[in-house]
Amino acid sequence: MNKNKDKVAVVTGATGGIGFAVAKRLGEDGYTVVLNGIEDEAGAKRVEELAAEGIAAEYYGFDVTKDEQVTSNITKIGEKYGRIDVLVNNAGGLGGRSRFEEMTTDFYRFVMALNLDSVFFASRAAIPFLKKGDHPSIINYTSNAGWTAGGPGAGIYGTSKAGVHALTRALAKDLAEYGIRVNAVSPGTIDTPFHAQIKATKPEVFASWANSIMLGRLGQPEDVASVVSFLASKDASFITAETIQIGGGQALGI
Amino acid sequence: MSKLKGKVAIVTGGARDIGLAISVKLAKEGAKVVVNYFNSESEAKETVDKIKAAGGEAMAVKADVSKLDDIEKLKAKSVEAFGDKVDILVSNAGGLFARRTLQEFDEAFYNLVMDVNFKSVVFIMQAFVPLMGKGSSIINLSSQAARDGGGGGSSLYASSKGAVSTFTRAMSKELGPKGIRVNALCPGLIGTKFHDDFTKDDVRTKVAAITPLRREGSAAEVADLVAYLASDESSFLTGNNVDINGGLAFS
Repeated sequence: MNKNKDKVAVVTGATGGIGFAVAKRLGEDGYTVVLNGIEDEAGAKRVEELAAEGIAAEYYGFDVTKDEQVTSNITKIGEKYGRIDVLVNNAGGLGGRSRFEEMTTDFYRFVMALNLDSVFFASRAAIPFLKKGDHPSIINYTSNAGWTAGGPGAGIYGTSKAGVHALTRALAKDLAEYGIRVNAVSPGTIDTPFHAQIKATKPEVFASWANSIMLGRLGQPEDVASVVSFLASKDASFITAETIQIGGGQALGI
Repeated sequence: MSKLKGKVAIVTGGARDIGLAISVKLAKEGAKVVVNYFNSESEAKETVDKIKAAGGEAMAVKADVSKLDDIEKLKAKSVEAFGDKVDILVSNAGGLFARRTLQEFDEAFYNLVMDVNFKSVVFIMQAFVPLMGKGSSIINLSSQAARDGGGGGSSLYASSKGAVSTFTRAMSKELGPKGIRVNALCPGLIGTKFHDDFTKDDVRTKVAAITPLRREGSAAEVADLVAYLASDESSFLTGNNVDINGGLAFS
């Protein structure tokens, strides 16, 4: 039984740790998965990995910070399949650390584009195709940094994620009349290659992170993927404009 | 569909409205369900019959979950029927009872509302947690009222649910190291007898109209979220208060 047969999921930034886990999970759920990234070689390899598991997948290389690239590619994907059922705006990142007094305007614009503009570009382009989807939804990524304004030098990252938080709600209000739900996930510390260096060089520091999490472990990419899978499903049909923290109890009450 | 196969679930207030939908859904996913009720004897029997007819396992147990003696009885019956292990504990029992303003309610009304909505959650957990191990899940029904203070005359209800949300966060810290997850959900306007009794039709129509999804939620939709939080699928979620309100309120 494949309740998601014929459905199409688009996952941006899907060559990396969490994005790929999400793409794989949605593939296992039965969706045809369209992966986006900027490393074409890695993208092709990821598609092969999914194909080996019997998952129908395709890769589109484009830069989510560039309006024209995003709009033309999402439109191409939508026209090819005639629908988009789930858009996962997974692409994003810290972009580097910079204190405000030395921050360049280019850095500011890059971080905002990577985390916030990208969600706007992809969501806007996907709307006509989401309207043709079955229980369609958009899933964005915010962060604890959206509330705490981020760690040292990550103030613009935090600011961009606060923007995603409000944009999620604004999109939810605006698109509800089409039955398109819009939600966000807020991952805590997730065990990805992002932390590989500290895991290898300072294992005691890495281990101490887990101690600060109530469940006593870091999150796995699959922990994020399962929440995305739920939010995309019909089971979440009355949930919109909501942000779900995936932190094992890491940041309560925000 | 059997993501809760072999698990034992307790659902307080499990025979009516949202509780009924939760009992049925958990059983459908393979859990053995203890359907607790207090006033709704015939509904409880119907709930169990419905679950059994669909090939599931369930048992109805009468208990006033605001009374510690009754909680012990509920626990004893559960152990007798399904063994000394509980995997899923859903504190759903609760109520608004009446809409009363600050000058209208008395101490007895205060105690009633706080006991049924909050005391029950505390002592149900105290009784059942010793039966719960790594991988088990506790789900408390809070409310949108916990976020926004509630509608007219429901200040005590809203405050009791605020206590549920906070207790949920506190217990996620205390029980996390044991591998027990504790989450709450905050339903908005869900089409149930609760609102048939306490909310005027024109208010419901108005609220549905300003809800982004333009409708009330259903008890089944709340049950779907409970089943997700009960399952291993949500194994890294704890201390969360998940809103399910069609986008009506932001927290």
